[in-house]
Amino acid sequence: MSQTHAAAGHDAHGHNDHGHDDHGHGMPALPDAGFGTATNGKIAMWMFLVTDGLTFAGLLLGYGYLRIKNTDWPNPQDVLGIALTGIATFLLICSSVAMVMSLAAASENNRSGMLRWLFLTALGGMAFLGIQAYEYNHNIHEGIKLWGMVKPEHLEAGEKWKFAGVPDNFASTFYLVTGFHGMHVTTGVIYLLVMFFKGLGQKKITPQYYNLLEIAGLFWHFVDLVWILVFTFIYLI
Amino acid sequence: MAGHDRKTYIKIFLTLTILTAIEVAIPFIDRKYGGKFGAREAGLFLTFTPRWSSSMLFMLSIVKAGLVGLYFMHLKYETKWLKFIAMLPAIAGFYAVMMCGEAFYRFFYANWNMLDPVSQELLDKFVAAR
Repeated sequence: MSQTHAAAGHDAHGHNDHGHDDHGHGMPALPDAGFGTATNGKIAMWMFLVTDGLTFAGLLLGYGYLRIKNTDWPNPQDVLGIALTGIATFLLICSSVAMVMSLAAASENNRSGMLRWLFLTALGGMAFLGIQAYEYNHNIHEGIKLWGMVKPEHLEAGEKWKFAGVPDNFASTFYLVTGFHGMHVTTGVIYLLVMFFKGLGQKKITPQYYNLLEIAGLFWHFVDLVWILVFTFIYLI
Repeated sequence: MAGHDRKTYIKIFLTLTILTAIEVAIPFIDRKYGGKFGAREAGLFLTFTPRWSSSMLFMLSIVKAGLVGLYFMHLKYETKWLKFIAMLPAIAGFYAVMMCGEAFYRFFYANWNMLDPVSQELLDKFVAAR
């Protein structure tokens, strides 16, 4: 093909001209009609996140229904430590920002910056899990257990704990929803650490690695997004 | 590799932090002032929930989740089709509305002589005001 062809531009030739853009390797790669330039891995992660989001939606709907039906549901403010969990929420938001900063550094081929932010992201997740472990421990000592809640004033003298006579929906839904989310955070931290060591092991940031990092970031942001909803519905409302 | 705008990220981060602070403050404000200035009655009338804070917290959390999805997950820069797929779990909101409607129907009409004293008092006031 000649130089004049290229100079004439696409407008004059219409779509028959596509063949001129590639360099003799067959048809050029066009953006997908539905998904644009999103990679297969990214689309797959989004689909997984949709199913996961629906699972959380089911748990939260169950919680909501039980709560609406129950007229003697305790005010979460009286039972749970809102301030401490507020700090945990803030930590998770911070780690979400660290994740996008890591991606931004990776897009500029700044390997050390990318690794530093990625480690901070995982650290934020670990701090969140630490706070959650402390909180669970505290709650269990207060008598809030998976199978039910016995208020300290209902215990006999010398008694440290006992089974609640009737399964208590407050405690059960609390542990089920926050525990399911905590498992996601655990998975996310492992996922991020795997990406961290993978990045540590290679000298340069490849487009493949960037793509994988972006997908890992999607999962991590999803965990943050779900926690924002769970925190509001379980702790604050 | 999509361009990353650090300024936007920081702006979203600050917004999320401020909204979280407001959210955490709401239950405390509700506890302190909920019974005053007719706030509880106004909340009951406007939102059909005995706690005015509930609907406010609900809206704030949706806004925060939306910000994370749009800017941190880069959903803003994806195609319409991918946005639609990502929004599918929001259908739970429809079920939530149906569920709340059913529960409140029973709460206010079907079992209305079985209310707890606080709700009964509120309901009496609510009816008397009309």
